[in-house]
Amino acid sequence: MKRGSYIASIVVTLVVVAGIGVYLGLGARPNLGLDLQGGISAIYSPVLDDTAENADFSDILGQTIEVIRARVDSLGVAEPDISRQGNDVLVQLPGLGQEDVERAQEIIGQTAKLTFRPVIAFIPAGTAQYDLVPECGAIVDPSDVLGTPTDFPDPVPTTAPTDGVSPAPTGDASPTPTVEASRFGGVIPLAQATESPSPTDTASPGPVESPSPGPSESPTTVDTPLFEGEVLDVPLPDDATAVLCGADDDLGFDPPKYVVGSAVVTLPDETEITLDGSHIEDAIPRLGGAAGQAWEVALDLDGPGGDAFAVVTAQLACQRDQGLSGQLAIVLDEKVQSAPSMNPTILCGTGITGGQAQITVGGQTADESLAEARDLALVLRTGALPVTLVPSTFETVSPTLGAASVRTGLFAGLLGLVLVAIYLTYFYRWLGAVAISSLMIFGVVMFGLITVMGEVGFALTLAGIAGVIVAIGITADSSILFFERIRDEVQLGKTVRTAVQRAFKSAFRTNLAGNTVTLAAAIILYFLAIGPVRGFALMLGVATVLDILILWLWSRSVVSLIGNTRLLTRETVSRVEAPIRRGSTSGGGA
Amino acid sequence: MKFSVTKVDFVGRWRTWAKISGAAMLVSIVALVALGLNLSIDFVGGSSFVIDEVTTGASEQDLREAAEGAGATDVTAQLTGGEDGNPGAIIRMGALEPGSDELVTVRDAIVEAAGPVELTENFVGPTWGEQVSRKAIEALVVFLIVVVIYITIRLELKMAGVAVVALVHDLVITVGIYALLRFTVSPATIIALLTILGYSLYDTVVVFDRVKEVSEQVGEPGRRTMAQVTNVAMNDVLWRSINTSLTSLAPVGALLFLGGRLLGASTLEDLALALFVGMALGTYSSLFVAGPGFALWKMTEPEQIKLAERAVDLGEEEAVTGALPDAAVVEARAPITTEYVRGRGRKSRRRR
Repeated sequence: MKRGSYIASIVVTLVVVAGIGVYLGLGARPNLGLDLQGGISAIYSPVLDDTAENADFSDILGQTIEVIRARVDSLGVAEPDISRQGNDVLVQLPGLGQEDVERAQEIIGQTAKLTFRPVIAFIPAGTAQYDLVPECGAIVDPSDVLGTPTDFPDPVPTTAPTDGVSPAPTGDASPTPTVEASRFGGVIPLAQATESPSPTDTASPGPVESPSPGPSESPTTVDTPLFEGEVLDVPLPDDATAVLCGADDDLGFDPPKYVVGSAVVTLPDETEITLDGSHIEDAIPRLGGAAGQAWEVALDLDGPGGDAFAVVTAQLACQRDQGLSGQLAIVLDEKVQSAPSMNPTILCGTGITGGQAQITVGGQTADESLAEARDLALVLRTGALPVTLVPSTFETVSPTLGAASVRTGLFAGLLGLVLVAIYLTYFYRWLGAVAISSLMIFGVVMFGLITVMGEVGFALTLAGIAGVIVAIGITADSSILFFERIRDEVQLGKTVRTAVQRAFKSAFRTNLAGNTVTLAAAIILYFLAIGPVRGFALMLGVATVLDILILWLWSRSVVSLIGNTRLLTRETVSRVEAPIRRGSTSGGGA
Repeated sequence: MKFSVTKVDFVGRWRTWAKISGAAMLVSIVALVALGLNLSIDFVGGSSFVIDEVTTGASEQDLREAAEGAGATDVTAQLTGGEDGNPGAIIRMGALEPGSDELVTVRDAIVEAAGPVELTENFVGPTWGEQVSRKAIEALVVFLIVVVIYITIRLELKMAGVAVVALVHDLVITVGIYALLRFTVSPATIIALLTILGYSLYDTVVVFDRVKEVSEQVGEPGRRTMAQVTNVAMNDVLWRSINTSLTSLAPVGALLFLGGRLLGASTLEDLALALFVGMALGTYSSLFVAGPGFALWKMTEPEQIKLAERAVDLGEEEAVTGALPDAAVVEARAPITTEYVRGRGRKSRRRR
């Protein structure tokens, strides 16, 4: 290389360092991992139920993560990180303290339960009745809710019309706002047929997408609760009638309430079947409709599930014909994810037979539609997850402890650098100064890289800090290899200038060989190991690459340039190690 | 040709190193079998609470009884350095599932007994440590295969074989030290062990790289056999090895020293401890296990045996064991390879 290219390398390096300096000076800071900023960190291992068949584990894991994410959102954590780690799920909830531990533990660990339940009444937020029905999750007495079940051709919804995820294939909105013939008589507007206000899954004909608040509001206001309910501290029983909330829609409104019936269906042959997620074989988003341009979710149920589905949808279709909503709620984790209504083509008394149904989704644009279909399909498949979450680790870290760890890590790193600097200066004099500059550049660039990586979601952990500190040694070694070779070559009688060139060549080769091994270790650890090992491996790998670059761009250029000056002459190079050489040498030496 | 500053007979005195290493490995294995490892809760599963300050003045006994009274099993309580004059505490017990009522009961009992300012809670399922270890071993196997292939291509097969032997040597002794000194083995220790592999191999590769370079001069005076070549190469890199290990150990030592004073930062401390031990061993094994091992293995090759015989004919018996004669002695000797003629030796001697 020519002198010019050395100068260019140095300039490039300095510009990079200066750029990072400005970047950091402007206040950019690394994204700290949970063990450094405090919060809750847990690893859950999904355990497949025995019933799991040829299911793609990767798929199941992905869906499990979605479920946990949805649940964690309800905790109101600023930046939850729920990610896959090997075959486990890593849940990181920064900022949560000891007081949130119990709730977090409960909410994450529970098993997802999906049921199909008939909608008895739909109460959007903002209506007069909203505050008069029990809170979400309350179990109510079915006879309270359905005072006069006369309208129902088939038995009380409590036992019979369990569920009907029924298709509303084409975009014609059958339902018109109606009033339930229950005790609410005339007060509570029933679900706008097709519309379920939760954006996630409007499983109903697109056109009818009329947002819920106050459809056919009747003037009568009642001050006393319409009926009583009790929130039990147990999972919602399959056969219970309950008040449930719609899934959060993040629009700032209270979620709408649904009064839903039992998920247990009695088949014509008297057998009882719980229409839950275990009967779902598959649910996929696809293009359907007359023109083939509307997104829908194709639902595929197993044999018994299909039979039960037929019974439920038959009853719901009858209700629809009577002017009721005839909606079927898809309930996941005690929240109504969607409540599609029956399409006119579904006949009263027949229902949807064959265990296959389509659910048309709403959405203003094709993209929205697609997103909703995907979400709903995910919900349905999630409900079918044959998986139990077993906690593998659960850890709370106090913010003060995290801060102390950061301080210790930084301090240890600095102390290490200083020790190395003193040693190198003593041993290599001016070359030592070059080594120290390399280490400083390494420190700054590494810090900058960690910060930049933080922007894309990487969080620095304690193990990562350890990885960087280990890399200090490796970076120092590159310089040492280089300098020792210069010494060797000068000893062989070369001029300093030639010695530097030859030394760099062989030192770089050796360095590359050694670093390849370290890099291989880092890469293999990153991809194969689990737990904190990965953060460590990533930092080690990045630092190794950085080390090679610094040796190439910086150390080599600087040493080459000072190779002809008084700073680096045969004498200064040879004086190196003089204190040690004396006495141990008889013949050789310089 | 240049003459090494140092003249340690790494190869010739292999019996000495073998005795040291063999004894260390034997002690390690005995310690491992007899004492076993002190596994952290991460391997056996369990729950623990870390209290930053015990404000009630409760003793270890009090804390243990409080936890046991609330239904916890296998409780150990330990007071640690705390803040503001109050001690901290770590209370460990059998696994209490997160979210369970049992956990809540125990937590409440401990809070009441210790009056902590801050309570940190940990839970590890019974199979987690096993999973981490299994994954680590899988990674280790893959890594070893990759490295053997790499060293074989880059250097040579025998070097790869010896490098792996040196690695096993480092691992066995590190684990032995853990067993003997009753250090706690945590998943962080496993990380560190894996890094030691990388570091040990890195060091070995650097040494072997030099051996390979010098081996071009095999046959020249003072480099008659691979045994001598290896000795020359290792003396060449001796200072580099010492400097590197010192500069590598300095930051890790700082981490160990500082990390150990920080309550709860056990990850840092565990990592640093294993790294410290492993890095020191890695340097040792590159010089005293890998180098001599390779030379001895190499000397069994017919070509080397022939070279050694020729050296003996020339009256250079030391070439068989690899001992390095004084520079003056070597200079007086005739070159016996053609390489020497175009070699650097004459030139450098002139200059000198």
